[in-house]
Amino acid sequence: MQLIIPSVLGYEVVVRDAVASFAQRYGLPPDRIEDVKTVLCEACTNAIEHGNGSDPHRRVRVCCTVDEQSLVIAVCDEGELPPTLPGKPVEWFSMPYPSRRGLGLKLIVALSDEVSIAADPTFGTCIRLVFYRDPRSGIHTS
Amino acid sequence: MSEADGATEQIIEMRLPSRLGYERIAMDTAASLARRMGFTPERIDALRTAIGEAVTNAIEHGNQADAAMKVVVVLTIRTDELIISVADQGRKVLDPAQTFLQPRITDAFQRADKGGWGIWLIRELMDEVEFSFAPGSGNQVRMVVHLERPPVIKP
Repeated sequence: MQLIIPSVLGYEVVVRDAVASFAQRYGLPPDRIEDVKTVLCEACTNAIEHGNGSDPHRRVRVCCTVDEQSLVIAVCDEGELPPTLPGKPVEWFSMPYPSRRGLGLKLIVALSDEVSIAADPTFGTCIRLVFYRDPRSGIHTS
Repeated sequence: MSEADGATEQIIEMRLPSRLGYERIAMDTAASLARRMGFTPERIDALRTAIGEAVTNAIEHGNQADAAMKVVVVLTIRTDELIISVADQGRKVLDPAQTFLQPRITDAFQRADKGGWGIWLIRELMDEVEFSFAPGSGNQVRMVVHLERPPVIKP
């Protein structure tokens, strides 16, 4: 399933509801669906505001795929931002003057099972978010 | 939802595989959008039914339930209306005569699947409806719902 929206704030909530509906029918537990919604809103807001600079003519593409193990969501903008991610586990208080903003990527990393970012000269910046259907599959005992 | 840069409309595009169940996601997405546009709950229910029927038709008939074939739903948001276009890839072409059929309840009792009401429902529920077929693309239904704001009462 693919969704394409304009870079206008407010449209990320429509994407959030669409993907929540998708995740629910995939069988993700309700608490994990809340994580998906939070992460997706942050990723879309980043793509709209930072990646596409709120230019309504630029599009944000959201692509959802599923298999037996996981739900994979890719959020792609048409910008040229360098791919950077905070490490895991997330350090929430690294900033000397904590602000309410700038926590988006940290939230994304904290709540997703896997995150990766790729910058492509043709397709823009793409963030790939993975949510495991069975949360136990994310725990490695070795 | 604000109009940016004097733009008169915004567009959301959904691409769905032709598998039953995905019509539900189209319904939820359109309902989420319509709610934020200010449509009444009754209109949102009507919209859900119409888009569900249109996407189901596209999946089952137009694309013959071939999951590799796409159903494209385009939602055009204007200040006073929402336009929903549902297009399939036209493996089976919809007979234009079928888009004007008036189903009869007595015939429906004879049918096992109780189908055949989709297009009639869409026409009943939406403000404007247009069916078309373009060679090389597929069947398309374009539905319009007007955003009616309550009249302003002056003392």
